[in-house]
Amino acid sequence: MSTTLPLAGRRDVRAWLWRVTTANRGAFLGMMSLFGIATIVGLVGPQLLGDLVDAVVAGTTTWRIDVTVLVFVAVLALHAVLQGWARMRAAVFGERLLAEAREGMVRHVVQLPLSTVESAGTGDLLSRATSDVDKLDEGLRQAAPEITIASVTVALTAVAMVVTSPIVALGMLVAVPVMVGAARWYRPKVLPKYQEALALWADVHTNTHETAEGGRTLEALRLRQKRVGANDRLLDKAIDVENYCSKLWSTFLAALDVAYLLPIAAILLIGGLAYTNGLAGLGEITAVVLYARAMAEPLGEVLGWLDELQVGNAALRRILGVQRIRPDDGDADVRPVGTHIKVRSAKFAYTRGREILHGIDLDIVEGERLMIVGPSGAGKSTLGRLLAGVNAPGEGEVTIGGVEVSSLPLERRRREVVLVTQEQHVFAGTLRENLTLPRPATDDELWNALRTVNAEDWAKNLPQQLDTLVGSGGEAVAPAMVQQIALARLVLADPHTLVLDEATSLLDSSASRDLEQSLSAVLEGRTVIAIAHRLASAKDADRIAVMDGGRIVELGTHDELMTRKGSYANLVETLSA
Amino acid sequence: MLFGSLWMVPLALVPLAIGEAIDQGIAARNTPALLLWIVALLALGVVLSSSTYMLTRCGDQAWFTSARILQNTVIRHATGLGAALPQKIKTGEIVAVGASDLHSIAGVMEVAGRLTGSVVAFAVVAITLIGTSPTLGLVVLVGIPLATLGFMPLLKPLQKRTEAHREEVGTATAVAADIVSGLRILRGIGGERQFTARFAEVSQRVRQAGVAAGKMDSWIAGVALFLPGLVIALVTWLGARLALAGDISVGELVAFFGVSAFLNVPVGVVGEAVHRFNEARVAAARACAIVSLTPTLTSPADPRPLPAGSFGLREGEIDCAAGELTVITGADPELADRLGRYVDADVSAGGVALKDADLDEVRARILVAHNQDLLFSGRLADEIDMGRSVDLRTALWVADAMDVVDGLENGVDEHLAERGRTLSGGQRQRMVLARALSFDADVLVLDEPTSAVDAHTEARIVERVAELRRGRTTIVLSQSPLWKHVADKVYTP
Repeated sequence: MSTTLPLAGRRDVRAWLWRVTTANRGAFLGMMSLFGIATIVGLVGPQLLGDLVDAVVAGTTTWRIDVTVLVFVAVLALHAVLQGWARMRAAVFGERLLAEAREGMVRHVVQLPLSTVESAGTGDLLSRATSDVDKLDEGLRQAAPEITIASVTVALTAVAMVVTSPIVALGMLVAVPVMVGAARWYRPKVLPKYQEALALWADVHTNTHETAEGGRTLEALRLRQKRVGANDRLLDKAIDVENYCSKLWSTFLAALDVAYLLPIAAILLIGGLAYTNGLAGLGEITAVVLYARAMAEPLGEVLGWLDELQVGNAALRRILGVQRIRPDDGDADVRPVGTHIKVRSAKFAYTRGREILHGIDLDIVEGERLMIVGPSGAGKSTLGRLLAGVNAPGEGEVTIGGVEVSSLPLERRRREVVLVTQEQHVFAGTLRENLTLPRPATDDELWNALRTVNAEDWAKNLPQQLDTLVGSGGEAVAPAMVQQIALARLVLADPHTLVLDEATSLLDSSASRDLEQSLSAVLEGRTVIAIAHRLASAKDADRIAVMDGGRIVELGTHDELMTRKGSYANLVETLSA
Repeated sequence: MLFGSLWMVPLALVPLAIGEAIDQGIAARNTPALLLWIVALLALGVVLSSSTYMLTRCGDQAWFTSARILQNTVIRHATGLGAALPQKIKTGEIVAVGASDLHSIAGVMEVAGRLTGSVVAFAVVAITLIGTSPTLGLVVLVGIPLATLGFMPLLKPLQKRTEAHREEVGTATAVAADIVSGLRILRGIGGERQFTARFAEVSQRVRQAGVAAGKMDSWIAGVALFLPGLVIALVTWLGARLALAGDISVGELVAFFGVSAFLNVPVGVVGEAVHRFNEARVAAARACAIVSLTPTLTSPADPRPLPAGSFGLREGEIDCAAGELTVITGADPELADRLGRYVDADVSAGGVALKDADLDEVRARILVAHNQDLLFSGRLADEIDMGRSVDLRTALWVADAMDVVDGLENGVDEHLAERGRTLSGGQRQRMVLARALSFDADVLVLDEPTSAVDAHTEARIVERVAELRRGRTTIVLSQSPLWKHVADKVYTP
């Protein structure tokens, strides 16, 4: 699939974690120390019981047993409360981190340069904003505290072992080569696979998204089986990689089991020898064995959560990857003078070596109606994108009022020029929210805008008028109305220049007549560059530019071009023949 | 599940073996016995290790299988809704089910194996303990289940909060999906700040719901620690007294202590299973909501067959004769939908009311091709060729799209982007037309098929379509004068 969005590097991930953690220093330290204290308290309990066993071996009183057990229960209660409290803090902290990641993600997504958005797959972006954030949830919210608890436990247990009997504790060392070996084998193998799995899941989601969007097309062309089949294939691919990861993980776990029992066997062996030689007491050996066993669980936890972290890490790299794309901030200092649009020997290629525009020269004065016509694939839309500053020319320049259009800050650029394409979207939300995209507006302004585009009656008949929920899951909006809404947005945006890229061409016939009326109301008093193939309205244009093969081949008024008897005249002939 | 037991039982036997090793080996200074028990321990290790492998594999397999079935079911049902799909459910919702609910539901399968193991291991341990000391055995046997049940009452509110959290997450996902879907518009005309703010609002609600659920979860974790701890204390207390009285040996005391500590594991598994089950129930409810949706239009119980071959369509005054090319100009926008029964209307198909025909047959034989039809991503040849009698080359040639294909680096093998985004408007329209022609329907309804192409191209398309569809019912809704020239009949309401 076409994934054009980058992944963040390890360093970015580390930098992000560091930044978020230091920003929430207080909460983080509070949570970690609570976990530390809870863990230490938790270690006191087994110690008490271990002592009790020792005491029993040495012979003790029932009174001592009773007291020890009572103390144990008290410590246990304290441990439970501390643990619960620490976890609560972790939940609060984790949720804050997640909210930050989520919101940061969306904040960056909405700042992506339009050129990136145009070329990136919706599904890739979508899965980064949704399922990857979910993955991070598991990885981040729980992994950090769990690893802390387990690490503190392991470290303290190790200390306790050594203190109890250094010789016997030596047995623990046999676990080290097994663990290190297993980790070294596992890690480098699994990380790229996790990354791959996430990318494959993203493909599955892209497919789901496309399928869900194209319900009508599926039904009409009976593509259901095919889409379901494609879905299954993608799913199988994702699951194959997951399955490979599962094999790695299972082998790793099996190795850890060996690492868990080997030291116990070694400790018993050393213990037996030490006991016969009088180097260690029975109680000490018992304690060390119990410690060794107690170590197994937290060690397993650490390793398990590290694995979760790997997934979280892979997800985070995808999420932060979006932030690597620099938003097109533009140059805030530039001030266009006037609204004159100049194009000077502009060349452009989407991919290197496949030039679409081969040097365009064009001047458009304020209030002019320029129509760009030509066969499809001639580069009309590309020129439109250059004029609207969506893409910068590879060579040459495109300026408004003397300033390179693509260098204008977006907010500013939109007040100058807006590109209107065929692609429209009604956001899930109220009609009001859908209209006020360019700027906040009063109800009167909104109704005025709706009136201008002939959508007032439609909006008046909605159940809650401006507050009616529309879009996905709300009131269905007919395609023609979607266009009207888009036009109403333009009225509110109020740029002095509009670039219309076949904005109304994909509509059914009768609707587009209404729309043309609405459109002409919107175009009133603005510079308009219309990209079209329909020549009916060409006569009304001040000038017509005919494009072919990435060049402007003819430029002039309708009458001029007709007398020239060139390709424009030819086009008109064909149509009226 | 078998491996679940194979895994948990050796885990339970380890402390017993350690106890024996200390008792019979070290304490008795009996080196052969010690070595024997160590070997036994290592043997347990091998069993444990291999059963861990098998258990994890089986758990994951169960996960994969259920994930596959579930995702497949949701897609199958969602696609079954067809044209009604966008109105019935948010796109984001469907993606969310595949993205996160799936994992919750499949997670239950994964934990099932370990849950069985826990129950079996518990039984084995209890029996062993009763054999050693009936009193202690009974305490464990009764105490541990009680401790497990102890936090059950807390689970109901937890489930409620988890549900609320899931719901908010679903909303956030839908909002994010909506933003991403409309990103081109947002970036084009503005509103980023407004939508970022709106998402932040939803995201904060997710956070609050998450914290609420997390708090409940934390207290459950605390209780889950405390109650089994109490049982351990009781066992140790009794054991110590018994050991002191000489009823049991030190090794047995160590074993008891170890075993009751071990029982934390099965109790933990039960807790996890309950937790997972709760999450899965919430997730399953959402998946079921999709599965329970039904299409708006249904086939009659007793459908009448449509006439054989290419038949005509008639609605009121508009009579599109069988095998002819009818051009309708200035029709109302819903006409195409009525002719293809996307909405119910009084349309007769060669004498049979369209309503009375089987919907599947209607779809198979009448194709309404729209400009809103989506080009899916994939290999061009696969996406355009519908595998009927009109081959790919012909379809592309008739739609005058050969130059588009020739301009692509890999020709018909080129990967088309989502919605054919890499193509220009006119190129896209010709691709959609080629696909519709390739479908070779008995009745083809084309809604503004050439609105986005230039006059020369349109002229070629018009001529070729008329030629290709000769003798097959074709209805074109178009404003263009070029279509009128080739029509058998023209309607202008």
